[in-house]
Amino acid sequence: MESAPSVFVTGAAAATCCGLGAQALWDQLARGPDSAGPRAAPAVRRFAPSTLPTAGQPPLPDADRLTAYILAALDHDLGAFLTGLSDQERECIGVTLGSAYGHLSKYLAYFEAGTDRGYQLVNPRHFPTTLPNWSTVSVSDAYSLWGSSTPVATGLSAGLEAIAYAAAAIRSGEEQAMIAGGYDEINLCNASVLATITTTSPAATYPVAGEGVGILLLQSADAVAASGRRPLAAYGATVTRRGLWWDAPDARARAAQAVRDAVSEGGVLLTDIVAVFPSTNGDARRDDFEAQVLREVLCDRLRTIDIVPIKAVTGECFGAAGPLQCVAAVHYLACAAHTPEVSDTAAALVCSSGYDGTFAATVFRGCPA
Amino acid sequence: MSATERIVVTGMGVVSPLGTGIDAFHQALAAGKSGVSPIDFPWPTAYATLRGGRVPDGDFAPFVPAEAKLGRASQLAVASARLALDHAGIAPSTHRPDRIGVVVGTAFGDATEFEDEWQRFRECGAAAPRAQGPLWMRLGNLAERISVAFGLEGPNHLITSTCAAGNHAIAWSAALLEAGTADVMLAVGADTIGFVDILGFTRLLLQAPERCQPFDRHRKGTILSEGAAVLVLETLSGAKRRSATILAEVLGYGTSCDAAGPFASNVTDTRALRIAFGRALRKARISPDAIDHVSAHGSGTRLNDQKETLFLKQALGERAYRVPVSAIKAMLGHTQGAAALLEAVACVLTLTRRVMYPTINYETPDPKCDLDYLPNEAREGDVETILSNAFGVGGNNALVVFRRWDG
Repeated sequence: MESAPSVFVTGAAAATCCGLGAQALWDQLARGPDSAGPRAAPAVRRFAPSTLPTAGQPPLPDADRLTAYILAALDHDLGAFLTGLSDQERECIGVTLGSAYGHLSKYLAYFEAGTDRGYQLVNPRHFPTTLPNWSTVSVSDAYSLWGSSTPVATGLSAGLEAIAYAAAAIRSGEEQAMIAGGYDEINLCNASVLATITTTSPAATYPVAGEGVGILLLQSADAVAASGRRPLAAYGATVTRRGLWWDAPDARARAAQAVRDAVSEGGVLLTDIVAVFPSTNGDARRDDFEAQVLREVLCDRLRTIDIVPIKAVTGECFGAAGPLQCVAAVHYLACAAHTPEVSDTAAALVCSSGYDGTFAATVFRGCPA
Repeated sequence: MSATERIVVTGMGVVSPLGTGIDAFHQALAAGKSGVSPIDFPWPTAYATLRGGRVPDGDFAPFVPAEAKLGRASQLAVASARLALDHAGIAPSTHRPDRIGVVVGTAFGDATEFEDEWQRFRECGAAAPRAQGPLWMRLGNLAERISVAFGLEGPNHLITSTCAAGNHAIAWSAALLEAGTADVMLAVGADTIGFVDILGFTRLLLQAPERCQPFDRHRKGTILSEGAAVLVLETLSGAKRRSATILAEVLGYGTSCDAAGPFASNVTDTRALRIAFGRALRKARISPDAIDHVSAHGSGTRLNDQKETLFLKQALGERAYRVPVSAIKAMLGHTQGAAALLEAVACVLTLTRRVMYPTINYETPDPKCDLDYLPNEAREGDVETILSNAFGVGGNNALVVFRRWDG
């Protein structure tokens, strides 16, 4: 079988409660969850939009905070690259972002304005901010990226699927590079679901709502060579499953097979996995389910593998969670590349297990320094 | 799996204001019927009588599992998927479920149910919207609804590039087949009309008061509508293996973004359209001269129609004046995320039944829109290769090229 063309991760961007930038997320992970500050139930990990350095960005209608997150993260981590592109390069760079809830708050605000105040008082210029493609096209607009602009909304695995879509677009030769990831914010709907989990949890742990943005810059081998950017990791594969609720009879077997398939399709061996970035968020039953899946797949090796549960720091970030786990995984592999005791074939596994029955597994391979 | 594997259409399903099923759809299109009528909303809008395209409940209910609690867009999607699978002769129980996938394109998904639920929540102080399950996600997850309804376990994605989403769904489905990820893909487009949708279009003066008149000098906008359509796509080798009837070939596709802001008004800036066109041609391995029919986005809005006309002149050169252009939104209204899929079905019907569908409501030529728009009457004729355009609010572009299947 012909091997798929390589897709490299050459940059990462993030905005979370840890601060702006992928490094801020990593630094917080290195310090541990306790350093994120005290939290009382029901706590949330909310990002303050007032701290976003959005100067110089295009005006944002009605202070759209989700798009502000995204543009600020990109500006912080990838701004130099994105603003230095030629027109020819911009024609071959696409954007794909996943979100479980999209611009729900904007949508509801528009709906309430229309029903309460009447259609005459609805601001027509705010309508585009209610659309599910708003953030994606805003990124294309901000950096004049004429490649495909693709919003993905397949529930809580939307962010990982966006990354998979981006990799496929590069592998097919459609794009040379992709801005790919996910975003989501806290709203009444997702917070109320987490509250339901909290009040029914048999354990003393519970998920904490979070919000943010996680983005990867993916490039083809040719684009890496042309740009001179250092590959941080190589994208392997993503495998997703639907209707996979943790209490279904065959859920564990299906999830375990999805992980095995991702590892296999990603071109690595199970023994290459040196770190797992799980979906665990404090929901005791779901966390137990994921632990069983990983135990079934990785067996005794699990004891020697680094497990990095990033939601302990970021909170449950919904559609942004998977991409944020990817940002951390890529950073891990980039650091591991300089560590002599880590093999050249080191790989990292990202799992996303959503309360909407979505399950996804993504694999990255390390790039030797 | 070869990267050059050809992708073919082996089944179609339609649920639309013009009829349910491909025969009813074809007959209505060929006759130049309108699916637009007065529609009701619980809140006032800019028009005393709001007009749109509605699908009668009885047209899709028989195809939706009675026990399924689905939003309206999900019901439309499931019904059209049922029709398409039957048309393709595919019984999910006789295929490997993990090799049949779904990609749905939508703009608003199950927004109407979400709006109703939210309003109940506000008025009654009830529990938060549908907190018992994932249904309260505003867009719903139409792709999952279809996979659950038919037991499909292959790739499953929901794409929301507004009015271009249908062609995006075709492109993603084809890419998944080319990559060997699935044997059969359902490319689905589905949408219904939500209040926010109506508010936005009327306040932006994009909704016409009475009718949609693409490319007419006095066009006043589009008419929002609802519907769903499905193409069953397979690799050529897979279709031949199961002796499927091949209807047409998906020859190429290309996507791009205008990157010009949400209210881009420069009708001469067609750069992104030309990028998508170039990609579609490269994929199809044809020259512009091979295009002998165009299924236009043709939304009936002033700027869009003018820009699309300019793009076609640039893309096709002098031949643009001789290539018939069809805009079926004049009959259907604008079904948003479903539009490109409904137009894709119309393209395949044009290729198989040798009828180019008319652009109705065309009365006064616009000097800035001066191509052959098939005014008001269908035209018979052999068509080999069709370009189908879809453009989304915000600047999404997705183009697909279909070719007649001659065996």
